[in-house]
Amino acid sequence: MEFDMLKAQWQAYDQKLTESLRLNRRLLRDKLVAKVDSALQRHERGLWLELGFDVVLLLLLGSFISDTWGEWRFVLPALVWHIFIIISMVVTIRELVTLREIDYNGPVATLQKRVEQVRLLHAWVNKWTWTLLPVLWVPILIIGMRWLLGLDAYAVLGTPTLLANLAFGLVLIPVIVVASRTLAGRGEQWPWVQSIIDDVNGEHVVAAARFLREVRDFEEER
Amino acid sequence: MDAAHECFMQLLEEHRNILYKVSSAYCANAEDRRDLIQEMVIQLWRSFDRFDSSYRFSTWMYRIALNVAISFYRSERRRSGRSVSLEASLLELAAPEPESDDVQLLRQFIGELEPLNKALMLLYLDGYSYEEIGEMLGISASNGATKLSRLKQRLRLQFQEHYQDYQS
Repeated sequence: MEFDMLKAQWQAYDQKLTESLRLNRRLLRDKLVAKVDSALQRHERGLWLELGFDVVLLLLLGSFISDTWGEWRFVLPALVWHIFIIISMVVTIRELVTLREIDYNGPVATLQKRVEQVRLLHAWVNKWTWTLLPVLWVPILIIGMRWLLGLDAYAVLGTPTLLANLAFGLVLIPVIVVASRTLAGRGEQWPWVQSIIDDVNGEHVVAAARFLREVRDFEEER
Repeated sequence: MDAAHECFMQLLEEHRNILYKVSSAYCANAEDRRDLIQEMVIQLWRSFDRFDSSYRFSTWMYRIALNVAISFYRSERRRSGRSVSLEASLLELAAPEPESDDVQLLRQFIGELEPLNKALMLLYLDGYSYEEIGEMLGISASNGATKLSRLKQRLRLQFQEHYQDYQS
């Protein structure tokens, strides 16, 4: 198969294709006038919402920590969440900055590498958020009971119960990981469920790392 | 509708085949193609005020379209099983002339390539020089040439295998 011949055929067909293609000018005009949002803008809005939510949580937890300062059985669970939320905020801010700086007119490999690095970081945070949730709910219970009901979870439920819950959560982590691997690809009818499954089983992390490697290989001269 | 809108629509109309080629290379599904075309057009319009008219519009358009397509390809989930939207497409293909078997096969093989190799092959087939391809993709011209040579070899093999299977 001669490639030059194939290229000539491709270009000849391209001419005919152009004649067969019709741009829907009325629809295009409507979209331009209506200033339709791109998927990127919608994603950015979602990130701002996420950031806003994190800021509120951070402030509330800060207030809780200050109110219970000295009572380490309350302060420590709140600090765990505080740190967790700060990590999530840093990743969200980094993603927002990258999105703001994106110039789609830039060289393809350079831009894709930048976007994928942030995507990989985001995938890591999501993976660990979902994976650690069975353990992280115990601190939420302690904080929530104290904050909303004014109750001391250690006294009401008993420290052994809380520790048992923590241990159960730890045992649940490998179960969730195995289940997410077993269920991989089975939730396609519910994209958001599939997305959570892929977050937990690390599919998103693997895909982002693979693509990042692909871009780096592409850039390398060899 | 102001002059900028009109000018943009005119240029887009002249280079509408780029939208089609890029969307066909990156999306197998008609619904995804429609969405991708819309994404590309929105992004082109948002970047239009930064377009330097001393450069070729097609080069500028290709770079944005490819960047949007690869990002779209990386983030969108497959649509199988989802309901079909009735929204019209910005680009309609009316009674196309049938492609030759080779062009059809080539389009299929391009669709199976990795995202960046797809971009490389599309630009090559459209007649861009190695320097232009390198500049658009962010690699050196010699790197582009080496990669293209390997890609052509790979596609040649695929063609050979296809025709051998066909004959047997």
